Amino acid sequence: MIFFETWIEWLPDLLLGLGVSLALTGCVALVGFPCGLLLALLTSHKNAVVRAIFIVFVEIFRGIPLLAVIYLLYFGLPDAGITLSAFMTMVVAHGLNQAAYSSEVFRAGLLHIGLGQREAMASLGITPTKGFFHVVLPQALRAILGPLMSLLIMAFQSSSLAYTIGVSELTSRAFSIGAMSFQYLEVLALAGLIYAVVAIASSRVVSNVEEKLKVNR
Amino acid sequence: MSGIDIAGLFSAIGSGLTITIVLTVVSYVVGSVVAIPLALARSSHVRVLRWPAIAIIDICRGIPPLVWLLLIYYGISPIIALEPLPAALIGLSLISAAYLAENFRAGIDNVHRGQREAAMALGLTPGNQFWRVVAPQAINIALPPSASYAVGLLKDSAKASIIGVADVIFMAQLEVSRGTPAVLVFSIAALLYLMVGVPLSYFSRHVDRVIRTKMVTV
Repeated sequence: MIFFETWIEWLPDLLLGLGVSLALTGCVALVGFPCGLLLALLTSHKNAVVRAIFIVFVEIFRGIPLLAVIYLLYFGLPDAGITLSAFMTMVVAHGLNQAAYSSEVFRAGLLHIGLGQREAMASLGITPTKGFFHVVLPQALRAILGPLMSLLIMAFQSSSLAYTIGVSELTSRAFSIGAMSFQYLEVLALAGLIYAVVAIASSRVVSNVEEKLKVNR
Repeated sequence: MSGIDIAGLFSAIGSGLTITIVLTVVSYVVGSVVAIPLALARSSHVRVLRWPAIAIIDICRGIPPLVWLLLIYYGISPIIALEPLPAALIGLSLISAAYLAENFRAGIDNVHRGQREAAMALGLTPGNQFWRVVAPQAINIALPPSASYAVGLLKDSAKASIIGVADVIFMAQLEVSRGTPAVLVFSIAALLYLMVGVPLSYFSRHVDRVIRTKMVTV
């Protein structure tokens, strides 16, 4: 079939694009998740002012489209004398977005550890910092691993927005091939299929992991 | 040029707000209508119904919204002439149908089996078992996540600007191309999304609270 011949011809280029999309997703996770953890701690801070400021920060980033953040940074930062590559702009914009979303997951996971355990730690003479890393975080991680992985899959799909600022990831490459060959439907369908295969396969993995964690409880 | 006319900017960018709201509302309504048969097929015991439904839902959700929009606008336009707005409406409706179907299915699956058995024991017809016993309870379970999905759809609608729909983001880009500072322009655009999205998410939380108390008292 002619259809498949062209698909095979396009595949290497698109798979390179997939690599860029995955690298982008990885960088977003590296920036977003630690910042998300930090935000979770700040949005449940003892000081009401600190708490309020960061809750507003999280709500704003959860409330506006990622595209608006991307454009704001991409077109706005050069005005401020800061020039970032398109890839880095995407990592920062998407990372901020991911931080806001994951902070809710981290917060739910941390709140999930009861006050009784904190009291038990205190009575055992474990310092709060040590207790956080050795008692609270390991338990919280179990509760948040599944939701965090789902966020990562969503981040992978949103990485397609990098197309708008010219990062040569999967969607951009598919679109350029479409523009050159005028076979938009075929090439974009193939790109869509690649996204779907990765997303569906990884959500199967996520449900398996969640199932495993449940059994161990 | 002395200073920037903030009010003028607001009204220029805000002129895209109608389109943004139309995109969100229409694709949410169409999506929920399509989602009902999809969810019913998805939770059916008949494989011939269930498997295609699973495939449709997974593929619609697996392909990123932006790729859907490009696929429909650039891919199908040469075959059937499509303006950007209808193309975006089709794409967003498709995506919201898949997401809402998954919510509805979770609602149906989470109604306790005993309810259907009790309905059967009382001699209700299969149709009545579903529509009078299972469905009303399933709606209660499916409503809160579906209400919060509306906020997600509002944000997804921004992607329509990429295929040339004149929504808020599109109008903002137009302002930037006229030389207005991008930070200012996109901050105003962001503010407009928050003006619609924050009440919407407040409303969805309200729905969640009302249903929670209702379910506890029942």
